[in-house]
Amino acid sequence: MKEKKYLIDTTLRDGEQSPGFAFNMDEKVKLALLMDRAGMHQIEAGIPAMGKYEKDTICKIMSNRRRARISTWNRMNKGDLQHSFDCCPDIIHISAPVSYVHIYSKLKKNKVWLQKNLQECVEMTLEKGYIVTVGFEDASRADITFIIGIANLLKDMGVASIRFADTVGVLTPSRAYQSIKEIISNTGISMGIHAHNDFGMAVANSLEAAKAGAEFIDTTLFGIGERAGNCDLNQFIAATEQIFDIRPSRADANVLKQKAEEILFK
Amino acid sequence: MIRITDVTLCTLKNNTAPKGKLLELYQLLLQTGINFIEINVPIFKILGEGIDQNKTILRVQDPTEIKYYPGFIRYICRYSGFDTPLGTISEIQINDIREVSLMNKFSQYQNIRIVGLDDLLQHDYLAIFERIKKINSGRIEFCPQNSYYCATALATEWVLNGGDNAVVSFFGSGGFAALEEVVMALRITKRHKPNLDLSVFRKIKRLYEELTGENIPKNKAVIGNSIFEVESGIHVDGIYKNGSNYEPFEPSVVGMERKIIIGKHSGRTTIEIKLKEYGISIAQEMISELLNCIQQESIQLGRSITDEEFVVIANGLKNN
Repeated sequence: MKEKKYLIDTTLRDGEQSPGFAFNMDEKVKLALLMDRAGMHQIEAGIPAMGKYEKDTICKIMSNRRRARISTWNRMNKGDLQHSFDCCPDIIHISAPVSYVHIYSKLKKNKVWLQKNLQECVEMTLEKGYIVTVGFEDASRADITFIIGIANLLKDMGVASIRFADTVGVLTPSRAYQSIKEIISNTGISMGIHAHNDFGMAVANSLEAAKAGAEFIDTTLFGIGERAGNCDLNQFIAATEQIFDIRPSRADANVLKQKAEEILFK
Repeated sequence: MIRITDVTLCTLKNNTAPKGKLLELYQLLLQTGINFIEINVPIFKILGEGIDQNKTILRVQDPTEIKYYPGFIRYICRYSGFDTPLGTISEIQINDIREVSLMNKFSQYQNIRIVGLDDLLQHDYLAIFERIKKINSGRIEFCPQNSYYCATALATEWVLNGGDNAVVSFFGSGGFAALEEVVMALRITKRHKPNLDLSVFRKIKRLYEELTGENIPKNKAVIGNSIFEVESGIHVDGIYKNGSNYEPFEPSVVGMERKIIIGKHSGRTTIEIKLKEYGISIAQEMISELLNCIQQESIQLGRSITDEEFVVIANGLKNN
């Protein structure tokens, strides 16, 4: 029996960050509905901190949803989370930078601050009764021991899963496999993978992460996303349908792609 | 020692391409750090003496043809049951892992190229690599095919795990591992830098599009025109502090430049950069309003905002 894997579509979030894309409410709602009907497990609907229009859009997506879980993406700050609470999503995702490059150079903070702030944000969100997932941003360039330490902490707090983000797209398949395997064997936490396609290996890295035990795989329609994009939904399904039990099926994903094309590339 | 063979020219369907353009492509490809270029007899007849035979592998239909085209560093021929001269690469097609045992037939061959194994990543590919190397201790070239979108990954992993010889093509032309992806992946992960300057990719891209009539997508890894365009506020802010925050390599390595795009996802840093660039002065407390206008306009238009449009919006707000 094939192992079940769950796809999280981030077309409406990371996909839309690709320069040139700017969906209006109607388009985002239509796309979400198409994905839901196709059988997508989870839809990352957007970033509530972007403002009222984005929040109204996410609320409408929530009111229309049938089976897909709707999640919102948040930076690791309380202001972002308050905006997410206004949308009442099914899942709240908090993105935490875990590489020293991002903590020290980008945020100009330190590991202690990161851990403290992350814990506070997670606690605040869990207390509201939300399912919380945490994204380890730039995980592929982070110290694995640091990641394992934080992951254990988050697991004890009740975080539902950790997303290993190859934010800069430098992973190779064997490293993807080893990283996921090591984190799971040292923590037992549920994991997801968010791969970027800078070396044309987003599908391959996601496949290897899934083989190593990652249950959740982030994808986008047409592989759109920052720089060279994300893991292409249809390509991932084609590459893995023989070994994993995945929804949407290849046929449903092809129909989704055809219908979405009219919206994405109007 | 890593040796990469490029087969782009053999994948081109246009046998009537002008000699000058084909020769230019041949010469540019050699500048990407690959070791050998493979051509076939029709291409050789067009290129003639313009090629460097020490860096060129000639594909023949039959080993008996070799004597008519002397002087190449190596020859390659699809295995068809005939004896292959020493030094000639025998090409064998292995479609899936169940056929790997067929390689036992070639255990004594000194030079083989394995083509196929598209779905290898679905399996324990590292174990299969070891099995292949055990069956044959000679020179093995791996030429993965891309029907499962993993050819680049397989070629890269083959090299990273001790398999020295891999086959690629520009843009993955013909359904192989993409030259530009494998070269960059090895550069970043293994510090394999036979060529420091890969700006030649820009010329190769234009020439390839001209010769094939294909348009390479703007977000194609390593060579897409838009891969260093950035709009998201978080990314612009991070890149502005240090490019390596969000870029796997400096754009200049591949002959490109970073470009900040204004749109729905822009943040304060973008606005401040653009205001400074265009010499527009706006009170700090109006930046949020400007951001809001940009977002609304971008949603209304369904695209990013051009710099010209930005200037109009910013000046409009300033003058109100």
